[in-house]
Amino acid sequence: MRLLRFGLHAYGPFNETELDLSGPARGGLHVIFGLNEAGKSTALRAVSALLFGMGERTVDAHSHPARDLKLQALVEEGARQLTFVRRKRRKDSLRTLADEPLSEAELAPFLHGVDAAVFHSLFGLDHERLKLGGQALLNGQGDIGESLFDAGTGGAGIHAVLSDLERESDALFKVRAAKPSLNAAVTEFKAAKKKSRDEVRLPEKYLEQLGAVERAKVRRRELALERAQLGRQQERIDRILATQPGVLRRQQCKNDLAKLGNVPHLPEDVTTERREAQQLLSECARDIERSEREIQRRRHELAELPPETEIVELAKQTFDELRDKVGIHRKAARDLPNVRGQIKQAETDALRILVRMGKPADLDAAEALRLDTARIAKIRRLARERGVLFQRQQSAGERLEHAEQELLEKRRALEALGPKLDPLGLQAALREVRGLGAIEQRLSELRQALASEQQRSDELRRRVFTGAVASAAKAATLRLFPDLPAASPDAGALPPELEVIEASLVELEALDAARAQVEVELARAEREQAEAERHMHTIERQGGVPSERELAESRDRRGVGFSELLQASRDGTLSHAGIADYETLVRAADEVADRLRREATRVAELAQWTVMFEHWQTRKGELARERSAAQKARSVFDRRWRGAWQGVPAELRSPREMLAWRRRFDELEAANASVARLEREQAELASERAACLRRLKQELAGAVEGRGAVEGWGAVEGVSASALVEMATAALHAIEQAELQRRTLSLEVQQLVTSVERETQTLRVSAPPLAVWQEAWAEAVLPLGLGSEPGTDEVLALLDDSVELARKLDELPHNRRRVAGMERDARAFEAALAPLVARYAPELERLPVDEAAERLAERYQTAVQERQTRSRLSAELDERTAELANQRQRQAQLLARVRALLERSQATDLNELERLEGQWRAARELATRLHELEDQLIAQGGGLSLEQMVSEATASEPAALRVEREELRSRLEETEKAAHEVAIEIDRLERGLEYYTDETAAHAAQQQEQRAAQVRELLERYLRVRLGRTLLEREIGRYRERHQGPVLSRASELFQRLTLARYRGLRVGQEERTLGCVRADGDEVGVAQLSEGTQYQLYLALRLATLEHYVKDGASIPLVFDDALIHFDDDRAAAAFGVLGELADRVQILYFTHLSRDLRLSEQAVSPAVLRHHRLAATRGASSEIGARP
Amino acid sequence: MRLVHAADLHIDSPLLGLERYEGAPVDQIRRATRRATENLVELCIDERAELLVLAGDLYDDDWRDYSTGLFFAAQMARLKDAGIRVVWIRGNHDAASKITRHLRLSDNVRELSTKRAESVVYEDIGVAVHGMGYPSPSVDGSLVEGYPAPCSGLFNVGLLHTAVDGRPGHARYAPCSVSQLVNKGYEYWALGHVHTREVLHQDPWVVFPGNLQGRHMRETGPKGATLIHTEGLKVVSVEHRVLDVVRWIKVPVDVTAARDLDQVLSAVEGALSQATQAADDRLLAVRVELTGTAPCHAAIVTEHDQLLAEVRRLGLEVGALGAWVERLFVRTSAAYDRSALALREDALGALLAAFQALRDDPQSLAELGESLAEVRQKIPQELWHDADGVAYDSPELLRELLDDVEAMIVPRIVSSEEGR
Repeated sequence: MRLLRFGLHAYGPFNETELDLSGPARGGLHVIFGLNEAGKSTALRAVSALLFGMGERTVDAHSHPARDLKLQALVEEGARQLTFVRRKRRKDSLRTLADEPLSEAELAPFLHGVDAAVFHSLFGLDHERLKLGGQALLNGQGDIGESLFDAGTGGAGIHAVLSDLERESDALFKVRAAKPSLNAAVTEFKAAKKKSRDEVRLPEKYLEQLGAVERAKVRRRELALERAQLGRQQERIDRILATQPGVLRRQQCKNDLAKLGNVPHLPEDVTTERREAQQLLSECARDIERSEREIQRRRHELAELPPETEIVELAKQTFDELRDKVGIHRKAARDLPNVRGQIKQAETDALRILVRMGKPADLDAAEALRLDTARIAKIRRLARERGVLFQRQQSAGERLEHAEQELLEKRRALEALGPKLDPLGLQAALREVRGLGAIEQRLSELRQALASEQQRSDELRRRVFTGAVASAAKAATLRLFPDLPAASPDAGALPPELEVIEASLVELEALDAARAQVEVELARAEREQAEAERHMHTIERQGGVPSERELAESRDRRGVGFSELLQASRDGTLSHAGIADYETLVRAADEVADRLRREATRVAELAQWTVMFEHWQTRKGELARERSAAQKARSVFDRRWRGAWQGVPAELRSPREMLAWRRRFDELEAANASVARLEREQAELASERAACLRRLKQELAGAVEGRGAVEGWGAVEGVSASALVEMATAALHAIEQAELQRRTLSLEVQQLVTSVERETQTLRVSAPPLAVWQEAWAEAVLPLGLGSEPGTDEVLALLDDSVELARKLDELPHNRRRVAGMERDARAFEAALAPLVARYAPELERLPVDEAAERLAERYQTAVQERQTRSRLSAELDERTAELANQRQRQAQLLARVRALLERSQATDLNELERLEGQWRAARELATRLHELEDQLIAQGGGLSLEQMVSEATASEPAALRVEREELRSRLEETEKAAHEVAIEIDRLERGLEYYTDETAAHAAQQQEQRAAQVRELLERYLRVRLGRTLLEREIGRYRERHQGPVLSRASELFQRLTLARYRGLRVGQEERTLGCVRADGDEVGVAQLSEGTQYQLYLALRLATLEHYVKDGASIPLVFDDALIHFDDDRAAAAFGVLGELADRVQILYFTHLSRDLRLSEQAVSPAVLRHHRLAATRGASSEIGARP
Repeated sequence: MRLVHAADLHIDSPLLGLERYEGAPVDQIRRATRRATENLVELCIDERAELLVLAGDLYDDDWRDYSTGLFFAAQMARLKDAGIRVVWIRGNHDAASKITRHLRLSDNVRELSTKRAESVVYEDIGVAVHGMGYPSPSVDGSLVEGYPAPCSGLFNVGLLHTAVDGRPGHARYAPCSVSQLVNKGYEYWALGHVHTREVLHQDPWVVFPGNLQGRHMRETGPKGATLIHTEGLKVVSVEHRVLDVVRWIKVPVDVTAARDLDQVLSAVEGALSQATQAADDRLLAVRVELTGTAPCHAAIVTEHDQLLAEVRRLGLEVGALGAWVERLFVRTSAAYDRSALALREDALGALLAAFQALRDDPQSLAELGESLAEVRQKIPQELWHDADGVAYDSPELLRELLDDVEAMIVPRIVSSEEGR
């Protein structure tokens, strides 16, 4: 199949781009050139996408949406053609031009069963794959089978696959190792199996254990019985030993009871009753005695009290009032002198104030001077208002006067300023002159630059024009710079242009390089020829080598001999000698033929080296001619070079040196132009500066004239520029200051006029209120009698005295009323006390009233207390007397109760009763004790009757019983110990039974099974890897055996061609395992010793040989290369193109390249009949196809 | 009357083929057969069954650990406490079992004779159970003829351990035909031996309940016992009750649409999740089988180990108890056309042709098997065969392995081609 047209309508960067691949009638080699980024690799992917569909994740959907990607092609297979479109679809991606789905089956016959994988492996080749193929060869150390297999599968790196399998296999299993997974798993399985076996609990063992448990339990029951029996015996002895003391005590008890004889039965509570009666009688006697004592003491106290007096009959209220009045009377006597003193002081103060007020010292008349409160307040208010009114009027007057004075001064100053001047003209001129700073700066820079450029120009000039041409330098300079003053007409010619010199330099270098290359190649040809000759000699030294020519000649001789023999036969001259000669000739020919066959390799090698020798001989001749031509070309160049510099005032040297000279010359030219430009600029700036200064002078002169003679303003003519600027600046400042002062003064005058008007108005407004105040003031102070216009301070002082006087006058009547009251109370108290003293205590009449009253009260108090004591004692006496009577009655009752008790107890008195009580109690205790003992014995007796117990106890000796009991105890201990041991044993055995119920064995079996599963899993993995490796190795061997002959033979030829016969071919190495490469000199090297480039060539040779093998029956699809020869030098690449050109006769080859070299080399190496060139450009909307090479 | 019919308890028989790996739910599969047996006892108690019939194979024949028997005895004692009677016969596994010989069971349990068929009649519940245990591990002749005639007026249950007329994967012991059983006149035939539940006939009922707990990948799906509800001589209902603890299941996952391993894993996760739900969140012992023409077939093959680890990790995460991934079977085919590759004249074509030739040549396969002698010597004998008992160096198994080998190698070669 081949592609006739291939349209990249929307794919990667392509847009409606089409390749016309219809060219050669059969396969054709299409070299498709595209610069990097032209979409070359995209186009290569596009071929795969076209034939086998676009991948799910194509990288070529960047310019067009994936849905819109579109490839179109016209393919041909024999007489059949098919036009189809490929879209990016999951389904139905193959379509007709009308965008109808097209079955893949329609395309299938064109593909010859090649799928995407095969296409990538066998029909697509780039330099990367060649490189990897080379590395695979190297890794395989040239294993012939692997190399062929690799080539046969598209360079899959079969060695890597085998290595992987080997590594995986070794990681899984090794015969004598422990670590690999399978080995380790087997070990673990065996351990798990052993554990599983060990953990099994066998039924026999369980039953045995169970039997032991049951036996132990029987023994435990026997021991229990024995222990019970011993226990019972021990209990009997214990019982006897325990009851023996009780039996004895019972008997003793009975004896004691008998001794007591008959004892009367007493009431249960007789003792209590008796003791209570005795205690109550005793208490009663004590109470009677105490009551009689108390009665006696009270009677004595009553007798001791004094007789009652009359005073006690008085009412208590009378004496309470008397006691209160004594206190009041005593306080009034203390206060009276103070109050009288206060009255005296107030009178003195009032008389002093009257004197201060200037009034008569008459307290009675003073009342008339008292002022009412409203008037006092009015006088104080008016006094406050007076200050404000008088102050306002006075201030307004002062301010008016001041403003009028200031207004006069400001008006005078304004007049003194003189007429107004306009500063605008002077300002503009001054600004202009100040702007000259930048010009001055620039002028300064220009001067420096000019000096620098001139220095550089001089320096360059010296470097350009040196030595012998120095004299011509000036002339040349003058000629070169015509704007300077002209001088000598004998100027030098202009040097050639820079481009001319550069072109000459390139030309010269090319000439020199070509010549050097010829020399190198000549030397190489010498070496190669010598090498070929050496090989030829080597082969020939090993013995004569037959050649085809020799065979032909030998056969010719045989043919001639036969003809002669035939002729002789016809002629009848056939002789034995002739026949023998012919036989000799036949043998010789056969021998040559045999040797040719036998020594085919040597023959081939000799032929090859002979061809090589002749090739290099021819090549040497060609190179000698090339060297001569190169020398001639150099002479022509030298002549042309000298002519170009004719007349130039420079020392002629090589083009490279003259190129540098010409560049310095250009620099000189540029420096001179720079000097001229700077000088022009300097002149223009100086002119501008002079005009500015002129304008400033004019403006300053006008200002001076308008202002008259001002200090510091001199005449403007004849001053320096800087002085002029200073003067102008001062003048402008003065004008501006004067204007500022004028505006300030005008403003102040306006403000002062306003102030004068305002204060005049204030004065006018404040006069009427003052008059009103004066009238009110006169009326208010009239009662003070101070004349017509008294001052406020005077009025206010008199007002304060008047108020103080009124206060003193108010104090006098109150104090006088208090003195009169006190005196009246003292008299009343004495009158009330006198009759009481006279009646109840005449002896106190001599004492002061208050003291007499106090004594009388004390006496009353004492009399009252004595009456109360007497009354209390009488009451207590009555109470005690009644109590005594009660006690005596109770005593009689108690005695009656004792008598009843004695009667009941059949006792004569309480002492006898007490003795009877003792006997009765002892008998009762013995009876109780007897009952207790018998109860105890019954309890201890274990069902025996008292009689049985008594008989048992009395029948045995305690000592013998104790011995017997000790023996029993010992036997019991032994039995218990044995029972305990049996119990432990049973526990142990039963716990042992639990061992038979755990699931360890099941768990261990499960684990064993997990290990088994692991072994099987690993084993299966190992077997897969192991079989894979075995079968792959076997198949590689078979493949080698099958294909080694034809493929290796063809690869050998191709390798020789691709290495330009540096290698003669390929050879299967020792034991037919490794691939050897036979050098031209016959030496054989391994793949590893090949240079990287040669490995590429070896791999290409193997690949092409395999491919040829594959497509030998003509069924093929296009073979696509992408820069596959990028690492080949030109010669080898040309050789490779030669081989591809031959293959292109059968297979369509698309060779994508970015090397223009490949266009040239393919053109040289490939027949025009099969070669087409295309140029690929990822331009949108344009056809990319270029004209094919005719 | 409620009757529970179970068989093939195989108590403490290990679960086979579960390779242990990091995180594998080891504890969860422990006691699986015991827990299933406990489930059976609880079913009897919960359903207030009057009778439990066990149609043989309580234990594995070569299993000698007595704790298994004690466990069974304890379970029977629980049934005794609940007033439930048990009748059982020995199957081929029990015949030679040392446990069976020595075990003493509670008096609610009645074992039928191994010498001749006998009947046990429970008048109180109106049931007669007829049957005979295996006297030896292999009973080649039919036993049905020797079974007693049905008891008139009682519900007759025939208890028999048999393969009937042959069942795949089961030894053909005590052969008989369904019609023989039907014609015997019993109301219900409680069969054992076949591990897959099967109802062979209705009215009268002939039922294999299957085993209680699946033990390997050939015993997939729900496992349990049969609950029969009768009224007089009439069977009212026959229900299968699921009692297994670990569910064996094959999970096919079609990865035709998966373009990379992530998508493969995503598909596996979905399938595992579905399977877990279907198993009511039981622990799964699962074999994942990848099928379909996968675009990422090469990655599946070349990165098998990593993929397996990821699938196992997914297994641990599904459902309440997770899944033990027994195997990851790759049954995908490559996107490339194998037959087209085989037709290629190049090395790969030759390789595929060689594989095919080897498959078709028993002699070569035998030679290939002989080349494995070295590894065979190192592997314990009982492991030198797969789960079906086929030796790894047999031509039969080698032929299968060749498919795997080809699936492993060709993608490596093709993928390294495509990778360039």
